[in-house]
Amino acid sequence: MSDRPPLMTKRRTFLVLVAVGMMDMFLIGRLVSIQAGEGPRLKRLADDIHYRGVPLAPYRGNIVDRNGRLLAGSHHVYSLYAVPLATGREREATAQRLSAMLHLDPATVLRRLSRRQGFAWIKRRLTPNEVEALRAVLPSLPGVYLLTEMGRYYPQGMLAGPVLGYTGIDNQGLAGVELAYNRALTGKPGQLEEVYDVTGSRAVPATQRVVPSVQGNTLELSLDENIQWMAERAAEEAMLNTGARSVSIVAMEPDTGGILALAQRPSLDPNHFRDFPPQNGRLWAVSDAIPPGSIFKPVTLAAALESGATHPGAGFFCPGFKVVLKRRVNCWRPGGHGPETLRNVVENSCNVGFMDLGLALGIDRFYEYLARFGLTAVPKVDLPGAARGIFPSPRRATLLDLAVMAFGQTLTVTPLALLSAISAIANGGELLVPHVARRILTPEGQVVEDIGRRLVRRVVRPEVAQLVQSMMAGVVARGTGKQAQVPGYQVAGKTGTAQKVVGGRVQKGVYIASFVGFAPVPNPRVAMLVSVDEPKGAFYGGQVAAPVFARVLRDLLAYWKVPPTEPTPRPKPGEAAMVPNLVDLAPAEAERQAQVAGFGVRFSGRGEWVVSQSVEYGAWRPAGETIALELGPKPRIYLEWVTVPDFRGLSASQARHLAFDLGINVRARGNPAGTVVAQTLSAGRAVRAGSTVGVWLR
Amino acid sequence: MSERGVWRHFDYWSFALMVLLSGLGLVLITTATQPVVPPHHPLYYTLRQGVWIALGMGLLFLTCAIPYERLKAWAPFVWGGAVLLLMLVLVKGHTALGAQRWIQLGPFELQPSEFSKVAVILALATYLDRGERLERWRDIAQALGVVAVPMLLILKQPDLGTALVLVAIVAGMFYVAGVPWLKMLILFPGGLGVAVLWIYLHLRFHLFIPMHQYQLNRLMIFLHPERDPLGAGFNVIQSRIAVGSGGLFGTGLFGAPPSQLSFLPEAYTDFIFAVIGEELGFVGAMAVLFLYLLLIWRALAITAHARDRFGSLLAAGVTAFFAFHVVESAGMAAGVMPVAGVPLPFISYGGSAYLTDAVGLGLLINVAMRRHAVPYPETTPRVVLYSTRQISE
Repeated sequence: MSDRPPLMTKRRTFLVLVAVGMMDMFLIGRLVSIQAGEGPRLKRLADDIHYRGVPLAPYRGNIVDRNGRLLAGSHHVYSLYAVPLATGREREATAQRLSAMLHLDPATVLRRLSRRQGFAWIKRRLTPNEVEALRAVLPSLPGVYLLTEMGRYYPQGMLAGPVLGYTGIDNQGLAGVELAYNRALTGKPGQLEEVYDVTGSRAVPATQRVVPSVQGNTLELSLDENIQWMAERAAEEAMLNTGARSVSIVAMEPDTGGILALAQRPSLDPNHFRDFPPQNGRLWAVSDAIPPGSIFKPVTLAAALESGATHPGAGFFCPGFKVVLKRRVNCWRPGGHGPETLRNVVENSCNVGFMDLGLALGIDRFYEYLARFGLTAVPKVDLPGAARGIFPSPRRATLLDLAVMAFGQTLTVTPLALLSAISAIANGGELLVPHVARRILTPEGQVVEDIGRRLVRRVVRPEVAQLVQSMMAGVVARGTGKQAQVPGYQVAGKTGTAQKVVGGRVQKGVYIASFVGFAPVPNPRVAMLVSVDEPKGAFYGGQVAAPVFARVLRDLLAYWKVPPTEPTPRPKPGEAAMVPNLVDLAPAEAERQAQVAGFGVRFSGRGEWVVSQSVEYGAWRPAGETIALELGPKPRIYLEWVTVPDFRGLSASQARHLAFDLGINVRARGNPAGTVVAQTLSAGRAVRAGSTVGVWLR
Repeated sequence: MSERGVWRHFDYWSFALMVLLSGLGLVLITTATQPVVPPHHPLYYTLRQGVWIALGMGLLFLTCAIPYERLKAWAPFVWGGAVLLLMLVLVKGHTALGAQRWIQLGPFELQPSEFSKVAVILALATYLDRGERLERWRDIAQALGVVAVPMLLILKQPDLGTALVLVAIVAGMFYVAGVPWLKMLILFPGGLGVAVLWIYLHLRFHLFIPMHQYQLNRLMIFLHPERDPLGAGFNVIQSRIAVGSGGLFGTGLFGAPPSQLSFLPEAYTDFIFAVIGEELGFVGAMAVLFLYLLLIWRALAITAHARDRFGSLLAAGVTAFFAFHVVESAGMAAGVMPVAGVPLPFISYGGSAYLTDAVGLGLLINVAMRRHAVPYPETTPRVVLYSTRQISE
């Protein structure tokens, strides 16, 4: 064919084919490693790069009371966000227009529009007006979109505010049960994913992926809205009547440990929690250890009886003081109580008698019983911030410490822990875990978790508990706690007047008046603790706290329709009798109750409701007297719609009293000595009872 | 030489492969250009590529029609023309993507470096056909001179990918032309070793290297793309992401958003293999590679069975050209080869590239068609031949 050198084509081409084949194999191996091995990771990476996620807030679960009434719910609100990359060149004009509409600083808006990220909030929780205005202009503003979020609202306003707590801008629980049960309430956030191309524009055609959010669970509290309301009103009234720094009322179901009501003043409205001082949101019944004073005495008594350090027939003598370790410790009654039985000691709240009980117990047994009553540990209550009481260390405690602790000084406990201990006495001797949540339910109502009754330990024998109950009943029937009486029921209780310790020293003239008790005896349905911090004027627990206790208890027993257990013998004319509370009753009912208590009535004014009585509730008067009752048109019905009054021209205190009568709250700003010049909700508007009206004073 | 009956030996195999690959290319270009389209008609790139395919087919038949021996006489002019164009591009060229590669020709942009591949194949085949045994370094160096001129001009643009293609072509043709083993080893793997060593010394001891930093980065980044994920490594990473998210069967041709989001630059040209990996998955990528393997197998068979040395050399050059393009373009997308812009033959978008591929395949088929042609005296009258054929049919 040719004389030119031979080509080694055949062999060589075969080798080339082999080489190319090997290259191919190498490539295939590489493809396997990328597509199979790294595939899933690369796919995720690809999704990360291609999808921009917009969070879809889950519906935060409702909080309801034990009867299923709504205490906290969620609703849709609109928020405005930007996809900064998509805002384009008109960014500055957009910022100008948005800032004018939303009352924001233009520079701030521009900064948000210019962020180097896929998603930026511009303003959250827009008002309906803002949304209305935005809807019209949004199509002309590139890269700016509306999104629905969940807002939290508390339909009962201030009711149980600090217990419910509140949520932050992302619907996360920040306080109260909102915080304690945040996980159960939150649900699972969803995601709206949209595809964006490399330039940051939404891909065409628009591809969206929606990962739906999962609704949070419903939290059912052991609170009862109505009882809570009674406690709130009683606390408010106590604040007004005593001028105290704060008032706290805790009511508990002794058989379950469930908290029925937890009210405090000052309080806050979780709808506007930012407008209140943050300390208002703290539940000091849970988080503050305070010297209990005499309300601690039932614990000492139960411990002494259970351990056998004393017996019901023991005799005591009170000269008015007792010398322990060369220190003279006075009884509250300067002259002393003289010879007493154990029952007298309790009814008289005799400090000397309790010092004897404490010394008879001894330091070891005393501390042992403190621990058994759950007072030395942090209660496992499901509220944030629970604290532990403070005690002298058992090794260093002296007999003097012991004697003083026996009547409730030197040591501190939280009101909640003490109420749990008293509840243990009320339920026959079992200490239960206090709790505010009863059940966690799915949104459809299936029970996820039953929190309910949890036993910590048996503290005392039922016989001892019954004995202590009967002695405490004596305190109310004959002793220092007469003002806690509720006609028709045997009420057990203990008054307390603790000296406040400030900076490590007992402060003269500053007291915590308190009352703890339960009713009806036997088979108590409710245990309650009322604590009034630094009342002005009268400061004894029996004067200040017991009437508050009685008021709530009376309402509660009526609400629960607990049948009266005691015959109420009509006092003979001239005999001292306690004036009943006739306010908030229909005239006929008021007349009947007055007659039962031994008093006559005279009505004045027009209306279907008693609005005031001439002799204060709780006062002792000779039976047969006539009490003047004023009738008025305002039935104080709980949880109703009320009309906002015109507060203008009133003083701060007048405004507060007017608001109290209506069942709403006022929050004053400005000169405290001035008169109201403006109010946040205009007069004549219908609002839910419990709403808060802000007033400006000048 | 007789032209009688040559068309009967037309290589339908490789032509079928070309048609198949071109069709696939059209589809892939359509999907990959969806996002970049808006300023144009949605099928802007597809239609243009269609025009190129039509022109390419015509060019292929034209190339086949001319008996390849005659091309020998054209070789100096083709080579000279290519060099002239390469010079022109350096003077008057249009710069894009940091390189001066294109000459504006009416509505089209001409990329002379693509054509230079065919010119080099033709010129080198002609040169090597002269008869030297290529056993001496001097002969080898002279042959290299034929390539050196266009290669330097291409490197000046700079267009590293095309320069590397020329190296591959030379290697393939030298190999078939019978350069001894040892010299082959010294020339090619040795040359590669020297280049790697040079780069290493540059990085380590800042030895002078006639490259821009960005070129060097692009060459090296495939080893560690995550070191510059938004710069030099962007392509490599996006390509890997695209290939990786394809999985076994791919995301489907049109429903797959990622490749349509323009994250992968040059997805419809040099990186089109990444789109294959993403949309057609491992199975699709395997299939495409298999098609190329078939094509190269055909090309090698043609090389082996060529009637004469010149034909064999031509076929070897085209084979090396295709083989290198496939391996580099697919390897780059898979992240095993340095990023050097090389299109995937017949699939990638691009007029100059497609026409060059078509001419290359035309040369190949040309050689295949004439492997059985019996040399006849040049004086044989065509008329007779014509009439005979008419009679016979």
